[in-house]
Amino acid sequence: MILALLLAAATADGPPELPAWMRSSAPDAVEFRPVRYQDAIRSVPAFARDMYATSVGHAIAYEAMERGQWSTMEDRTYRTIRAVLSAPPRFAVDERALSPRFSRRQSSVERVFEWAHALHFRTIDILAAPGLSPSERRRAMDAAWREYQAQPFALTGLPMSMAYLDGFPWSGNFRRRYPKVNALFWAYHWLQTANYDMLFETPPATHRPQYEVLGAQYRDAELDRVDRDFMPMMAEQSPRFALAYPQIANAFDNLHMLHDQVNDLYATPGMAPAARDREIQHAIIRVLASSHAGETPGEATNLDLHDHRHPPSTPGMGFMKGSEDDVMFMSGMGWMDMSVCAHCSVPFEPDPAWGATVTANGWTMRVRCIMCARDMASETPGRAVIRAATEQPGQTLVLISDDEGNWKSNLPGVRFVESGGEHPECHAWSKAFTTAAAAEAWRQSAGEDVPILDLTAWGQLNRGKPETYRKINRPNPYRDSGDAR
Amino acid sequence: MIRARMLAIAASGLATALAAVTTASDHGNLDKARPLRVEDAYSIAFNSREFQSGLEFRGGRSARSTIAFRNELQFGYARNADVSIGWVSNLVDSRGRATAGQLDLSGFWTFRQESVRGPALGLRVDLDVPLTTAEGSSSLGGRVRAIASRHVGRYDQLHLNLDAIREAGTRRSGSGSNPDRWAATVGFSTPVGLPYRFETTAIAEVGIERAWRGGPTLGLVGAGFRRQFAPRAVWDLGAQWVPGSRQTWRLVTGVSLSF
Amino acid sequence: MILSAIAGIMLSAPIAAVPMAELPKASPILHEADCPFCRLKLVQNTETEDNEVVLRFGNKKIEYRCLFCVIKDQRRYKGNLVVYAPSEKVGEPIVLKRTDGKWTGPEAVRILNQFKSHGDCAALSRAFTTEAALLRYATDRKVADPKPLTLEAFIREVERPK
Repeated sequence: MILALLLAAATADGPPELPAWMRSSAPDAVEFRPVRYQDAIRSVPAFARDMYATSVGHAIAYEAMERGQWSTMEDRTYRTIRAVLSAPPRFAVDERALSPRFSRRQSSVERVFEWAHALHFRTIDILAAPGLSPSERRRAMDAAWREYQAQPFALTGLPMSMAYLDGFPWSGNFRRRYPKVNALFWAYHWLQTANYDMLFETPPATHRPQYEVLGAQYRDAELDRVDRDFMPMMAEQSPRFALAYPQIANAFDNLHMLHDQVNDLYATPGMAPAARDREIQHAIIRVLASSHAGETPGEATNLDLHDHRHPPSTPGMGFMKGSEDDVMFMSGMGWMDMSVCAHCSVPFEPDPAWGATVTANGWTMRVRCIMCARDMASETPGRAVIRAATEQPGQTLVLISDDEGNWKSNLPGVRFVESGGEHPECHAWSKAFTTAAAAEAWRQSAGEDVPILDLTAWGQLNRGKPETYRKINRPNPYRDSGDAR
Repeated sequence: MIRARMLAIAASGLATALAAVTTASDHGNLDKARPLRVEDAYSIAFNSREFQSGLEFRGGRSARSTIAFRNELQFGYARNADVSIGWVSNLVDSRGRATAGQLDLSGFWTFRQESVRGPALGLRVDLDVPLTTAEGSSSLGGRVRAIASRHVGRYDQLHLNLDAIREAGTRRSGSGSNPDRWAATVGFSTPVGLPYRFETTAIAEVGIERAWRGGPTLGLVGAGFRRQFAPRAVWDLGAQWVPGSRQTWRLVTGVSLSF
Repeated sequence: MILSAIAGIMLSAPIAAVPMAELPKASPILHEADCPFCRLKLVQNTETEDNEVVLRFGNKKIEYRCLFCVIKDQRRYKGNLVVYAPSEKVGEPIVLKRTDGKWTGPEAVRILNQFKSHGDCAALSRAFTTEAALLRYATDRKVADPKPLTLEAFIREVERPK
């Protein structure tokens, strides 16, 4: 009891005034306005079902927390959730039906969660919808964001300091005490973040084959992964999407952090329910859009609650523990500089020469060129997905490899040039083209006498580690041992 | 001729409903008459639109069987509130004829959700407008319903519905019901198969109904289910037994679609 | 840079066509990532000692921390494998192959596999061209009671259920 009081005193930001909607006991169920591409997520059926199952996983765990079933959290509750995840529901599930007692007690946080989850589904539908032009998709995303923000329980799209939000005395309790169930939460959040680059500006026909790789990673690795130091972040898992829609990326990070905070507060031993509920209300208020009205991304009026700085190259992510400008620590990858190619450490070219991304082994990295993407994928066990720019701005090349690094392309006539040169210019001599004719036209105009490679020949190349590559060696900020991972 | 046309309308309505199943009805959210009398205290979500369509068969030893076709559009016009407009047509009325039936206008408000302090509370107000004067009075009807819902087990819920009713002139003319009466219904709903199955809610109800000015008290027992069969579509089926009434049984089936 | 690029391209040619003489010398070829099996940091080559254990699987070229980690993780890969294991000679890795599930390597190769925790696996799970080389290494590292294993015995030991 004394501990609870001390914790409450130590962690309170001062008693914030509750917004009207938090004082109300109405359920406030809200849906996005109907659109013709509603449920486009179902064009990738396995993805849709895995996403529906994340709702079940959240709800079962929260109900167990509210019922105080801590002694069985890591076995019975865990097994129940895993059973659902292995036979996911066919349709979207009402979380409140599965967690009635939690919903009764935590109606405010439930409203925040539900509305943000609705934003997940709406934005995914927009990106997955076939037949939308890039400008229609952009308008639809902007409209969805405005509609989301119109509700009082909307989360802020400003980058928040994750170091601050995860720095309370009770922070990390859940992940330390219940690592298996926490791994499930972080796996859901991995799925809810990694999918965006899968869908973003990639042809709808590639979504299913891409999800074969992502879905396998989710089920076979992420759900069991207890070695993450921190929750998956949008800009880590979907860097291109986070660049294009930083507000939405930030809102999802803030949502996932709120999940972690609720979990940590429930898992804090000795904290009285009333004190815990008060802290949960404070946690909600910290990340509400209304709490940060008029504030600006990139600015900090103080270095905690109103610290909206972000890595200069990455507006869709708040500062992480130990971050310095663009340098941040990523679980499993170590320290990374977000402003440079993950493979050759050379700074990115400005758009539209956006280069490529590589997805493998649970991470997604931005790289400068298609060669960097291939060589980075070839160092990593398992299947990989490359999404790359071609000579046509609207035509994204999607390459998917098998375990042996043999690539398949969404563009049957894809051709490559890889003339070889210095990495600081790799984007200029390593290119992908939609057709042989386009590659030939480039060769003529560039006056370069370089071979044009088909997919098989290109896939067998490997230039190894670039001389420009620089590893940042610093200790892991999340581990006391100083382990450099 | 009229009946044939109305049967065609009924068929096309159901077909349209089934064709529109691309669009989420929540099988756990009990709506009036879908399929039983009892409903829960929750409105549909703000911004959601729902179309409901179904057939109601009534009969009994001492009364002719009737078939009614019910369609309703609901719109969540604000948080915790919805409005709806419905049309109940008689494909076969107590005299064997097809008649236009009545329009139903309805508003629903949820005042609070269930909390640690008490049940969810809702209110429904219905206005029934007869479309034909063929069976006597053509007066307006209506209903005010107060609703409370709360969990009684891990997932099970009880729902209490208290109604004040004035029957529209042309509605249920064969039931022998009194124009002004009150009704009380207690319903029980349980999601079937949680936490592993998520598609079906089973419902049961018991109720009584009596005229304000006295007369016999009619009892009612019903059971049914609502089953989601597509992302935004729910099929319902229910049966009721009303001993003491001329039409002692009622069978209802239909679909609810969000779009 | 050019030499490094050529070496990289040569490495990516079909495995059967790679003669020993054209194998890359001690230059580091991969990023400094984590071992896919033990998740500890990979140990890079130095001027005086090779440490990078490289597994070739089709077009993939994956680095491990030690030979033990490779054998423990081998079921992940369904086809044929080639492993370039650092030896006592800088720039002269020992080539081990798994063909149709059967491991082969030079007859004289002996393997030390005596680490107690994975923090020591890179140093104490290594291949040597001869038993004498292994014993010299063990003496230098003060390994008590070193046991030179043939490739077959090493794989049996690693795969033995514990």
